[in-house]
Amino acid sequence: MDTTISDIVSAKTMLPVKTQPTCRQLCLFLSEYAAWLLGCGATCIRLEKNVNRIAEAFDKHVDMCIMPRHIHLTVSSHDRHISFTAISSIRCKAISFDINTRLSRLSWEIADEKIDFTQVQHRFEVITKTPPANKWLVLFLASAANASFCRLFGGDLLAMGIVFVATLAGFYLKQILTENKVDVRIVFIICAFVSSVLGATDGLFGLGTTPGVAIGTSVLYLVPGIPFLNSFSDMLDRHYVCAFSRFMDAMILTACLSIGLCGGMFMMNVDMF
Amino acid sequence: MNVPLITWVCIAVAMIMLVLIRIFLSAHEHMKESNKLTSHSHVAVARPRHKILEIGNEREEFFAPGDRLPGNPDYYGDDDN
Repeated sequence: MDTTISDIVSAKTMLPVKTQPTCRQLCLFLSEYAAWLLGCGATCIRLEKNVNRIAEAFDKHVDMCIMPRHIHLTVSSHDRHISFTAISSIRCKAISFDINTRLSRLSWEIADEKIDFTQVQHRFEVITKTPPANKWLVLFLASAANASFCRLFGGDLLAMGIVFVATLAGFYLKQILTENKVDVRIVFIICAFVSSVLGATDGLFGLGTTPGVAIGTSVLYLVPGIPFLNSFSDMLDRHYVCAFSRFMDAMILTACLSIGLCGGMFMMNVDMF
Repeated sequence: MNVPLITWVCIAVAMIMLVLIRIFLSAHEHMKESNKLTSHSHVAVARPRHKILEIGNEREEFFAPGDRLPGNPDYYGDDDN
């Protein structure tokens, strides 16, 4: 049997008897939760904090081993007499701030409001079914952001317009290729090539005064900023294996971006140095 | 015509064609779906809504240092174990 007095009645949380999950139930839930949270782009410290917060709210103890593609999780009762272990693979989803935020919020709701475990599971199900952000809106905002970067780097209005169109085309292509499950490294090379060729419009037709800025900033939307930031966050928190894994992922994507950009510049006869 | 111009024209035309084909295909799919709905179903399916803007607080952010601890609203600690 997987139940003790501490499982049934929690003096700390004062939850009704029926709301307390067993170690097994909580472990299975937390392994799913952790797999989703890490898959959505959370850092290791965020994962540890959220999982510990939930476990403490249910008067349980949790130990974790976070690997780049798997999470090994053991939940034990307060007196450590009962424990349950689960290993789950990280959900390979696109980075989603929305799901990430909602999962973090769920952990606070559990800790603050002491919501019922069945409610927790229901809310988790709802969160995991969150639809992705509107792709047209994302397309427009990414293009506008990249055009703004062009301006920040000293590009004129014409260069901004060219960067906007180049990003629009490249990002749209990225969305289509990603939907069709094309390898992300191939996607980065193709999109960087397309964006850099279109970004070279300024120089090709002699339209504006800042063609270099236009071609340079036309691929900025592909820079893997979140993996780089997460890798440094993990490194600061001494999760070196995850930090190195994320850093290598980000470096490979950056290399693919560079290949595409160099290909585009070579085809457009743009001097690199 | 030189190589850069040919490359640029190829990429630009390919992208325009891609956009046009996708628009045509999605319009075709949309028409098929709307025809299906009008002929078969009269039950509206509730689809989850997605908020464009939402206000959160620091507890839902990604960075962990400085998180407020539950049950202690005044404490902002650097509890790195």
